[in-house]
Amino acid sequence: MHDTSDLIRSQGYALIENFVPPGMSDRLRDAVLRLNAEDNDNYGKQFLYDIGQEGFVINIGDRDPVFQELLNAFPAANVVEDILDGEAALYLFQGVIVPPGGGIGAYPWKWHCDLFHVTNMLGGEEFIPGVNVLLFVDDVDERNGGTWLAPGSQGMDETQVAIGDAAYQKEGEFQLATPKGSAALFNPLMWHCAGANHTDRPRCAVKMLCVRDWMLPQMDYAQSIGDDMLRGYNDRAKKLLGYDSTIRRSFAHDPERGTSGIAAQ
Amino acid sequence: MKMTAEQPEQDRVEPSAPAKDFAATSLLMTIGVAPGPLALEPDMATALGDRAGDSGADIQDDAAARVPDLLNRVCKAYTLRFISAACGDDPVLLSRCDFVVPTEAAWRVAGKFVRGRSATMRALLGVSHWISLGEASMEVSTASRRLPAAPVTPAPGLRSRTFTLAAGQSVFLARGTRFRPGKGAWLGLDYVRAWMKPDILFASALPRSVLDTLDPALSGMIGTTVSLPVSVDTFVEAEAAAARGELANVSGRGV
Repeated sequence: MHDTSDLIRSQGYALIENFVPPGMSDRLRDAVLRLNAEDNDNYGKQFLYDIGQEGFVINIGDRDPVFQELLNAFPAANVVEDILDGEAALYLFQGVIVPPGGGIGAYPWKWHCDLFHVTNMLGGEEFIPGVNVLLFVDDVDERNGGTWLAPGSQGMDETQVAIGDAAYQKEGEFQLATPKGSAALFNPLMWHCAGANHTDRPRCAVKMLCVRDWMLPQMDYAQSIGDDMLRGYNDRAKKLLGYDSTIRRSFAHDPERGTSGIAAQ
Repeated sequence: MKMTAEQPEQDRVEPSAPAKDFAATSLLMTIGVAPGPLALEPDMATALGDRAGDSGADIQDDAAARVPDLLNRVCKAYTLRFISAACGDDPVLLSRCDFVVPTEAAWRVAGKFVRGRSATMRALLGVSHWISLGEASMEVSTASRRLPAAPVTPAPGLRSRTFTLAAGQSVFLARGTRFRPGKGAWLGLDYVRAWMKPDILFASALPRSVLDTLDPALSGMIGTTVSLPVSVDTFVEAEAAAARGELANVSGRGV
């Protein structure tokens, strides 16, 4: 665990093969594609493209038991909790599909680091606000959009990292090639981008971006899981979903959903 | 405002002066406390103090739920500007607004979620604004905001400063600062950066009748532009609104 944590702290990422067994990768992939097809039917593929959400499958923890199985197992738990000092909660839990022709060079994919607002605020701080766990449920390489990484770039802004510069690209950037079932664990402040998918087959992944539990998530996962599904989550998974750090939406206290009180006032 | 302990006479701040200057911001960033403005007229403060209760119990509850026009009275634009400036010019969210009636002078931590390495960051994550609702004193352990989360009691050797406040006077505290409010009624407000979880989302909690009377300048402060979707439908609605520039937050993209 410490080796993996040290890699993330130092170069910004660590790659773990056999993160989940092959059979589970296939089930995750099937679920991502099925739910994406549902979303396209419900909202329209063009509409989702227009708002930058085509291929991003949302709230998966409530939509198929295989994602519950993944979060209950969560093989990265020790590393994530080590780096985040026991404060981990999900910022994002989603399926990610890079369609044929998608990836770097196509909308909306571009080099970026996540949590831009935090990057700006933390300039100079040796502080890791989150761990991005990107689980590949397809074999990935340069043909279908293996993720590009810029090791050591975590916490730096565009004035400090020569993203796109040919000389920098040659030495400073590289593209992941790894079998399905592997996961890249990385500091979300490290620059990265989905590679271009030159094949005729969608490239699928499951993204679990964990952040400090005092940070506002993309979705209120603690409120978005139905009661039936909720019963199947273990306590550690519930903590990741934010059940220990919920945001009250009314002045009435809700003991079932917990409160955000951590340090007694 | 009277200050005791080592506070020299010339450091006193006129009660009605908004704390907005560089020195006050620096005080918050360094020693974790800065004198605040006269946040409420004394009569109003005293009336609120009576309302906060004197049951002898250690009370802490949602003041904004009990006094509908409270936020308009205490969340002044210059206060928000000052707190935002202290937080690196980040927008801020109101996280809590409580009546607090301590029965004993126990040490507390300003704000919440100050644990692990989060507690030791140089950058200020939030600011608390404590308003006295009567004559009261507050002891502050200076430069304590970067202590580890536990214990709450400040480390031996840290200097402390005691503020004596009349009704309506206030103090700003950096998140994480250890402080000890004396007996009496207080109004305690916590603000956090707008990308942090508030304890309560006031935009959802306040009734429409109150929201309609809220000063428009305060709407961002209570989270009206924060989306916290709870379903695929509400997520898609929020993303569509963000694409139209109507909401503050959008999802991460581009993996």
